[in-house]
This record gives sequence, structure tokens and C-alpha cells, in this order.
Amino acid sequence: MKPENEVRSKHRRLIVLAAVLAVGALVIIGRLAYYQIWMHDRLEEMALEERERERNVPSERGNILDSTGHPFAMSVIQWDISVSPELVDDPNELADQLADLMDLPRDELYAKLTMKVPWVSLARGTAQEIGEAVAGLEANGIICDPRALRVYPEGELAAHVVGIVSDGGVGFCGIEGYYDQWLAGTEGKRAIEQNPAGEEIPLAPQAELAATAGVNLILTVDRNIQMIAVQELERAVEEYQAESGTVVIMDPQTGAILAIANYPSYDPNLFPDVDGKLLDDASLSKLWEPGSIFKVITWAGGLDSGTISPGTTVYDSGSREVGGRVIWNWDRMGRGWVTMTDGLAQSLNTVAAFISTSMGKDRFYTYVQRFGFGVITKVDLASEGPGIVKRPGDSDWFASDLGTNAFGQGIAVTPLQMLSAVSAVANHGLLMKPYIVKQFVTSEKVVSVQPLAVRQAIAEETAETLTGMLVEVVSREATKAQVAGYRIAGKTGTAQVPTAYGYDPTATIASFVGFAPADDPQFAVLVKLDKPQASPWANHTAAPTFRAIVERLLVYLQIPPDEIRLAQ
Amino acid sequence: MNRKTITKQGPNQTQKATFPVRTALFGGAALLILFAWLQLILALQIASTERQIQITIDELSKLKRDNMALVQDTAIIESEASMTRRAEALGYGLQTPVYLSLGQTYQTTGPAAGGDVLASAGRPAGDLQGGILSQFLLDDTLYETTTAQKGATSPVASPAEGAP
Repeated sequence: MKPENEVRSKHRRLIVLAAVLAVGALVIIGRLAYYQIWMHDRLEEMALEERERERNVPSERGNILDSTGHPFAMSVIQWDISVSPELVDDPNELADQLADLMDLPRDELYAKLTMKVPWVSLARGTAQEIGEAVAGLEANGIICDPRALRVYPEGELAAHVVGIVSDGGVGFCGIEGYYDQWLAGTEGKRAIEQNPAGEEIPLAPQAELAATAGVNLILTVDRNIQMIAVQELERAVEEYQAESGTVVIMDPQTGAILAIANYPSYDPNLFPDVDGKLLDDASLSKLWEPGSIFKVITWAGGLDSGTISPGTTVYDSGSREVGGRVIWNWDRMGRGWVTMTDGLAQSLNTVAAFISTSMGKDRFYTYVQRFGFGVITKVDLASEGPGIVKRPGDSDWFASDLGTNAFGQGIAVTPLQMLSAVSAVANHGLLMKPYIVKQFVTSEKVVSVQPLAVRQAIAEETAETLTGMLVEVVSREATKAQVAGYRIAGKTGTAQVPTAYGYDPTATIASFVGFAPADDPQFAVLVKLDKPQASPWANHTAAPTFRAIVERLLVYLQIPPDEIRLAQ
Repeated sequence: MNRKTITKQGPNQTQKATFPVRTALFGGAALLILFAWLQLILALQIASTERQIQITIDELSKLKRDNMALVQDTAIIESEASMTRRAEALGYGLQTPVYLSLGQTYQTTGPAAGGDVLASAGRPAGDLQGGILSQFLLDDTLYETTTAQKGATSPVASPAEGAP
């Protein structure tokens, strides 16, 4: 080939090559333009979808504290430790390290670390320091998940007041149930970016919606008073061989609940293994026919309506017929002419029936309603029951109910309702709404709950008169409730236990309700013992229990005897 | 001459025309490098600070968790049940207070007087035996408290013991 031709041929090939390269470049540029410009938004979105994840940030559940600031319920972190055996570099070394830290058998750990499974749990609910130490190893394959755990440092002490929280973080019963949403707070959200292995990239920008911590609740319950209630109740149940029992203590001037004790109780720390029947707070949900302590309400209505006065006399023959049904005294004995004070002191059913029938059904049930029976008290605790009050006009109400209801039969109440009603007598006739949370505390503010008056159930003068009569009840008949040096107002109640076939002839429910000091009540106490075997009578079981509680309360609350206190 | 002059002026004119461009290019490049360097330094600092923040947040979380665990431990140690056990182990029991108004004279020297005071408070004098007696004032009232101790000897002479 001639040199000219050779040069020309080379030029041609170069041109072809350049053209090919140019086309190639154009294709590449075109593809780049396609991806970078036309497909830009879509691809960016796809990339972000791959990389970005939204994680829930759990909120801290609020604490529940007693009135002195001691925690009844709080959350701590425990660790669930697991492993992906395939990712472990050196199972021998890791087994040694974990055995030291977790105090588990080395061989057992080694066996788990070498299992041919993608994941295996090593320990659940490990203590904080152990979890932190294991996480600090930063060993490949080891997974440490911190988990909030609800703990109750006081154990059984205030189980029914506080309630429980499930594994899923939902509160049930008591304060945990009633204030679940407040305590739980609000979960936060956190946008994170992750690498192809799914691990969070710590340096990536993160958008965060902060979690809101739950509200801390400070209760009106004083753990020392709670302890007194629990100890004395346990002692009483054991001593009098009762099946179960309840003690409720309240500040009658405000409605603040100072203690709620039920026996049997449970340890909320062991919640999943607790018998479900024990979870109910008997003071709120267990209805009982109150028996003679309900006479306080009958006498209050009679006095307030002007139907009777303390000196009104009536002839007691031992029985009285109401609506075709004969009502007997507890001992079937007649006492002749008795005053209303005598009738209350000796707990005469015939006198109670006399009062209710003299008042008439409308007025009697109006007072029953005024004292808050038949409706919930709206206390801030979960699972409260309204009780059962049959009223004239109801299909199941009979004329005889007017007589039996007057001494607490055929009517079902909760211990809290009963104590709340008697507290109204102690509080100059003013019925207060019971409450158990006195302060809501967040990081920003503290909100205090103000006592709330429901209504003036009876006149102030009536309340004072009735208080005087209740003091006589204790000093004359219920002497086992008496505390030397103090005027105590109170009333015993020995109620029969209703069954499907009438009243159980072998069992009673013994109760006592009262308050002290009578002239300036600082606390009201209700004691209820179910089916005591040692004695069926409240005066021998519930009354001494009441006295034991009151004696300790007077010491704890530093209330001097009347002689010294009134001399001041 | 004229041609030479022109020739000499030509390069001068060219130098004058190209000098700012080259300088600008160098300057631009230098600025670009400077900005890139600054960007790199700042990016590194931001990354480092973010990491530090992350570490601090982790440390704070750990401290919070440790604090929660400590509060729990303290709460358990100070629980009613635990305190009661400890008090009983130390020999303490329930208090039995004796109240006196300030007008009353409390005599700790005679068994008769002490017995009267206790009787007026509604408690048998024997209640104080083996107990620790203490007095304090509150709201203008003299308070007397005894703490029953199992088998302990009272360091303060109680009226029931009839100390001189």
C-alpha cells in the first residue's frame, strides 16, 4: 500500500473509532442524563426508601409515688441478651467473657454460641449492670436489647392501689389502669439511615419527634398508714380466721384516701404468675350487704328529715312487720321503750325499720341517694362498682325492702362507698368525692388536685348530733373499738351473707366504720372481715381491729389525747 | 524601527491581555482548593461533633439507666418491709407515746408520779419497762415517747423503773 493510502486508511479507521467512541459517549451521556435528570426524583426516592427507616422511640412511663415521695411503681431497664451464632468470630473467647459477666455456665453458653441457628436467646431480663457490661464488649453477633420493666419496690404493700402493667406496657387495675394513658406518655419517632446490613448509621442526619415522658403521680396514700392497715388486717384475718378482709382509711375532710388494704393480696412484681382473682380491688368492686353499719345512714336520714330526734322513743317488741315481712332484732329480743340513741347503740333492726317506714320510701331513698349509694363514687381507681340499690318502682323492689334496707339488708355497697358516706357525717354532713392522686408532676409543672365536694348530704347540725350518738355507740356497746383518752365515733355491722338460696346461716361479714377524734375527725376507717370463724360478731372481730389501727394512727399522726388537745 | 516597535509591543500587549486570565485561573483554582479544604475540614468537624454528640447521648442514656437502677435499689432497701425487718433486727418496736400539756410537770424521779402520768394517759406504767424514753416539743405540747426494745436497758430513767 502506498503511504498516502495507508495514511488515509488510518484516518478512516480513526474516524470510525472516534465515531464509535462518540456514539458510546453519547449513549453513556444519554443514560446519565436519563438517570440523573429524568429519573432523578424516582431514584432518589427509591434510595431513601432503602436507606431510611422510622423507629419508634419509647416513652418513659411515669412513676407512682406515695404522699411522702417514696416510689410505689417505677420503671427500670433490663436487658434481653441474644446472639446470632453465625456472626460470632471466636465462640471460645466469647463464651469465657460471657460466663464471667453473666454468671452462667460456660459450657451452656458455648453450646449456644456454636448452634446452627440464626438466633438464640442467652438471657432475658438481665440486670442493668450486666446488660451494660455485655453491650460494652461490642462483640460481633451479640445483640443487647434494653427493655423497660415495671417494678414495685413495696411489693404487696399497695398492690391493689397501684395495679399492674402487662408485658406490652398496658396498665390494668388500680392507678396503673385508671391513669394508663397519662402514665404511658407519648411514643416518639426517629428517622434513621441504615447501611445495607440494616445497622443504623450514627452519622446520618436524623429527624426526631421526641417522646413525651409519662406523668408522675403522687398519691394521697401514705405508705406508713398503708403499712398499718396491711399489718393490722393481716393480723385480724389470721387471729379471727377470716376468709378475707378489707381496710380503707380516708381523710373525711377532703376525701383523700390514705390507705386501701385487701387480704389476700399479691405481689405485682410477680404479675404474670398471679391468680387473676386476686387482682380485683375488693374495696371498690366487691359488693356486700353492709348490715348494721348502714344504720348510720338510716339514722342520718331520720334525724335530718326531722322524723326522729335522739330522744324520740319507740316501743321495741323484738320484731316489726314491714310490707308483710317480719323483721327481727339480731337477738330476737325486745327491749321495751327505747330512745333512738339506744336503738343505734344496741343496733336494733326494729328501730331502723321504724325510722325508714316513718320517713316514707321517697324520703328514705332520697337520703340513700344523697350519701352516694347506687352510683360510683368516681374515685380515680380502675374497676369501681356502683353497688345495688333497688328503688320504689323497680320491678324487684318490694315494700318489705324499705324495712330491710334500713338495717343494711337487701342493699349492696362497696367498702369505699360506705366509708365515703360515713365520712360525710364526720365532715359536717358534706359528702366529698374520694380521690387518690393528689399531684400530677411533669418536667414542666406540678398540678395539685383540689378536694371536691359532691353535695351536702345532711345538715351540719344533724351531722353533729349523729356524731354524738355514734360516740355513745362506741362508749356503751362497741367498747372494743374504744381508745383510751379519745372520743371515737363508730358503728359495728354484723351482716349475713346472701346466697342463691337465702342467707348463709353459718357465716357473717363483720365490719366496723368510725372516725377519730370525734370532734375534729382526722381520719375515718372502715374494717371489713369476711366470714370470721373465731366469732361471728363484729364487736369481737372488726371493732378490736379498728381500735388497733386507730391507736397506731393516733401515734403516727401525732394526735394528742382529747384532754390535752382540747385544753390547747 | 516601527516594525520592531510593533513587534516589541505585540508580546507586551499579549502579556497584558493574558495575565489576568491566568491569575484568575490560578486564583480560582486556589480558591477552589481552599473551599474544598475548608469543606473537608468542616465536614470532618461536623462528623466528629455528631459522633461526639452521639457518644454523649449514649453516655447520658447509660447514666439514666444506671440512675434508674440505683433508685430502684434504694427504694427496695427503704421499703416498709425492709425497714421493718431492719428495725426489728436492731431491737426497735412500736412507739408508745405519753402526752403532757406544758402546764403539767413531768417527774422522771418518782415512780408514783410517773405512774400517775401514765395512768392519766390510759396506759399501765409497766408499758414503759425496758423502753427508751425521749421527750420533744411540738405545737406547745410536750411529747414523751418510748421505744420498746427487746431486752435492752433504757439509758434514760423511766418513771416505771422507779429510778431516783
